[in-house]
Amino acid sequence: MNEMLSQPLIGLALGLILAECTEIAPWLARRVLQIAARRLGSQEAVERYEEEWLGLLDERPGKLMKLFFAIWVALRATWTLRAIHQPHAAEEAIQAGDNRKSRTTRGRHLEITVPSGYTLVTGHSRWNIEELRTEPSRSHLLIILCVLTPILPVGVYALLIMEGLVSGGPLLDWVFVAAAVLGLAIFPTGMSMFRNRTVEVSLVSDDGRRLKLHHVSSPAAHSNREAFALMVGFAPKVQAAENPALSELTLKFDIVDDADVRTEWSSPFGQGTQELHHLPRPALGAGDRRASQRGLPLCWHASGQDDVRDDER
Amino acid sequence: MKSPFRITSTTLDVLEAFLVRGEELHGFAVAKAASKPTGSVYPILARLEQAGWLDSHWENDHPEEGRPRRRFYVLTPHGAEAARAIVLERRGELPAPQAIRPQRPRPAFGSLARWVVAW
Repeated sequence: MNEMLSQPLIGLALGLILAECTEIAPWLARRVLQIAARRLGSQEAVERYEEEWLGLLDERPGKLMKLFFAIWVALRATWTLRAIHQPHAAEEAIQAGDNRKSRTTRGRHLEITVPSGYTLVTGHSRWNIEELRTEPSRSHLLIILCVLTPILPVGVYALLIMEGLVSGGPLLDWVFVAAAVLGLAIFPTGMSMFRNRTVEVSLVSDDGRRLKLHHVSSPAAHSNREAFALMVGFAPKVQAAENPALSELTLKFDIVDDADVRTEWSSPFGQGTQELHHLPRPALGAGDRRASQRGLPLCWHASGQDDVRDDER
Repeated sequence: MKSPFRITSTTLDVLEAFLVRGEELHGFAVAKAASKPTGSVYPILARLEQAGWLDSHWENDHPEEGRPRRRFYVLTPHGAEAARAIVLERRGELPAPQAIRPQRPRPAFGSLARWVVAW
């Protein structure tokens, strides 16, 4: 195809794509805000912020401005709001009897289901925190995949240019620049990933039983320096006792029994042996037994503050 | 003064916006008064509300046809007192309350018009 024909066609195609993107921008902005609101966890917060943000969206002039506004709200506001509203989400799930749900949250209040084969015994157990392991979330992997996808063709293109096999045109150069800029986004993505990552905590009891707790908030959530250190490190695994930063982290476990008997377990990391106490389980009804067979819900929240370091209540 | 959350520059801007305006504001108005993006303002509003410094409610009057209702935020008495103390401590002075002026209609591309007039 000669240049006389290809140039107008490319311009026409780009114009059509741009016009289409502009037209769907308001719809896309609404979807982004709805998805962002639904990630807040608590039903009350979801309804409130969805309505509030969609109301603000209507006040924004322009179509693309609406989309930029929605993306910025989703990126900037959602994480903090999730951390604030997540405790309510866990409470709502417990009240609704949703014991099977294994939530992935990075807030202060998390919920898991006890793995099958594990039972809470009455009395007293001693547990050691054996290991912490990072566990990148699926969304982070998806973001990295999206960022890495354009890098491969850009690398191939750069190689072909350097070898003189193809001659670069202005359009290809712009594509190259755009992809390179996108590629640079991997750095903040990585930082975000480690700032908001969760860890897998391996516990081992004195009698040899092991328990893994998934999706525990990372101590790097409030530290750029530690997030960077973890990002550039090779082994995404830390020994609890060897990491002084982890000694500042306190986990508080609320063990919610079938009759809503709660026991809280504060567990300062990095100090070796932890103790787990809980109350005797009450007699269960038939429905409760079925719930019990599915597993008991465990809830906990993580905090670096001193005011939650109460070992027994 | 000790606060239950981290006081950032944007937090101070938001607190000043409430002190200056002295009335209930919706999220967009807060962002505009604080000259910050709306996405940055919402986490702060949530933190302030969680700490009991802010109270919020949906607008009482029926909004215009087709417009979703807004949620208004207002400083609680405790929040107003704490906000004054924090702003005074960090910025050295309290902002002067502004009278609410009705917005005049402005021409689009106002800066361009001014530039043309100046030219």
